Amino acid sequence: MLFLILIAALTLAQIASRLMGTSVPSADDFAGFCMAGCVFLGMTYTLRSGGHIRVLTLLAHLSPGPRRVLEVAAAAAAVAIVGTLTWYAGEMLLVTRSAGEYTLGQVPVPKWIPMLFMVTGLAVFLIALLDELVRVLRGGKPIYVVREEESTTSIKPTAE
Amino acid sequence: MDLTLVALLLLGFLLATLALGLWIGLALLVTGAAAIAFLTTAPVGTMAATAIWGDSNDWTLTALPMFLWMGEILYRTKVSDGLFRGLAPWLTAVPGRLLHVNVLGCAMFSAVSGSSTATCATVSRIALPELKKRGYPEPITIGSLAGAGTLGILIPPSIIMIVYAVAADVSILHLFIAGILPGLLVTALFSAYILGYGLLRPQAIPREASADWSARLRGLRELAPSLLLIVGVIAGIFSGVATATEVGALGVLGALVIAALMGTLNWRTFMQSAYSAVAVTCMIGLILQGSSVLSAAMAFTGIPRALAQWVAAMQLNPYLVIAALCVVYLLLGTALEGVSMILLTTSIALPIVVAAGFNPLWFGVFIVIMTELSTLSPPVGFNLFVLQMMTGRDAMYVTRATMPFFTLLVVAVAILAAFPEIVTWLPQKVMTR
Repeated sequence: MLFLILIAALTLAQIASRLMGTSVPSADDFAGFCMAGCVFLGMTYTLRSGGHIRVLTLLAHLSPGPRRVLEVAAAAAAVAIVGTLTWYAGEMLLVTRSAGEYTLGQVPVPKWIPMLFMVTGLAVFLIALLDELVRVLRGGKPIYVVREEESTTSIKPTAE
Repeated sequence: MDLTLVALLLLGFLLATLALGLWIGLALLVTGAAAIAFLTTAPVGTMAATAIWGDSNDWTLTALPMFLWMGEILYRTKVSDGLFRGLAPWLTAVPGRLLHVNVLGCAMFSAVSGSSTATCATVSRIALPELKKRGYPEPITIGSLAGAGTLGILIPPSIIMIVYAVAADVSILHLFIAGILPGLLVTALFSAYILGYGLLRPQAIPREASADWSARLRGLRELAPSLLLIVGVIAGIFSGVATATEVGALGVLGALVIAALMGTLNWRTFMQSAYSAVAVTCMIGLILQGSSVLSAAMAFTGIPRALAQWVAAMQLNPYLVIAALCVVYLLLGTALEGVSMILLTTSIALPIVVAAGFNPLWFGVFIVIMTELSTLSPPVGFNLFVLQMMTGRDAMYVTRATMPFFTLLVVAVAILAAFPEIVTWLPQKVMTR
């Protein structure tokens, strides 16, 4: 499933780039949707490759016991936040659909269709976070922690 | 409840969630949601979902993955080898000799790359072993690479500028143009320092066989692909015809062509570069989502306006405001990286700075230089990490080696505060055309 998402996200990124050069009707709208698709559907991949950043200054100085408590708390909070957001994003989608809203561009698109990216992306992200929460509760190391540790021993270009 | 007290409580809440190890984007999101819940009667969840959706399907953002991808492709080519071999013959006779390759190579790579870590890593990969082999003193080699690497985000294109432009609602292209002269200023400061070092301590710099003109011309040929790409990107930015995203997409194409010509383009590097670009895009995307909610909350509760009025009422000297912000950003920069720092502060700091009489473009350049400083400040400084890994030296050694260049960047901020025209002149020129 993860792989599928990756390919989808990549194809979207590539479509976006191809769209830029030509004047496809409503290209701006579609590029925006591709952007949303790329970000929401790629979120899980980024989580599993340790790409999402967080402040590790405190965590790195704790002994394994307290660190685990904080890791559980962080993962649980993330599940709660993303869960709530997924719920409301779903609600937004349903409201938009029943109101029959369309985009204002040259090619009108029902607004709820691109919103599907957000809802599915968030839902998959939620499942991945739950998976990590279970792993850390069982005393294991979340995949993102493993990756974070790797990334301090290898060079990875970042946004900066 | 008093707005200032609420603001302080929210700040405390944010810091606590960050320290907990929650992802930065989610920490911003939950803080924003808390602000909405405490101060207004608006439906929090619906507002958050709408704010996030509204900001994430914005097409101006698509410039971000394009420039990231371009950088990722170039990072995997041998462009930096060409830069080194091309620049070296021109610099053998200048005091400081090949140390200038570090600064100029970084400045040139910056003109095709939007990331300072990528710039630093790409140029260091070739320059470090070459300079070491020739016996150049290590501290200034490390310092100049770490320092000049930060030009990656000041000289356009720049990922950090795109993020700020989206957050502050200014034109990405105008901000890019605004970065050119300050970028040249910083380059000149760094080169002048190396020149001075070379003049004062000529015995520390190893002698080079002087290169003749044929070697220099051959060097030009090595530089050609990078120069062409630079000219293409800059021309695209100035033409006013293309949008930032289109320039980025063309840059990707150009980078792919260069990679193909150098023989480093294959399915694996292509996929790797795309995966990395997606991962960084999503990393920034999650923080952007959090900041959408936080900005919506800020606009709704009026906290930034109140703060700006409060600062304006104190009738402070504008330079004092900038100096104070400078200190705040230096402190933030020790723990946060640039994207989070910008998205965390822009909605609050921008009204204050504008009230003090500075232009949003000027503040954009200011915040970019602050981000550059943050990549050089321990414990979380990405350019320091890059050089630590590449040299095997410890954090202290690398930080000390970087100090002169850190100071020069602070000097650059002072110069820009005294002469804001360095930032605003060129964009105005282009806008009125």
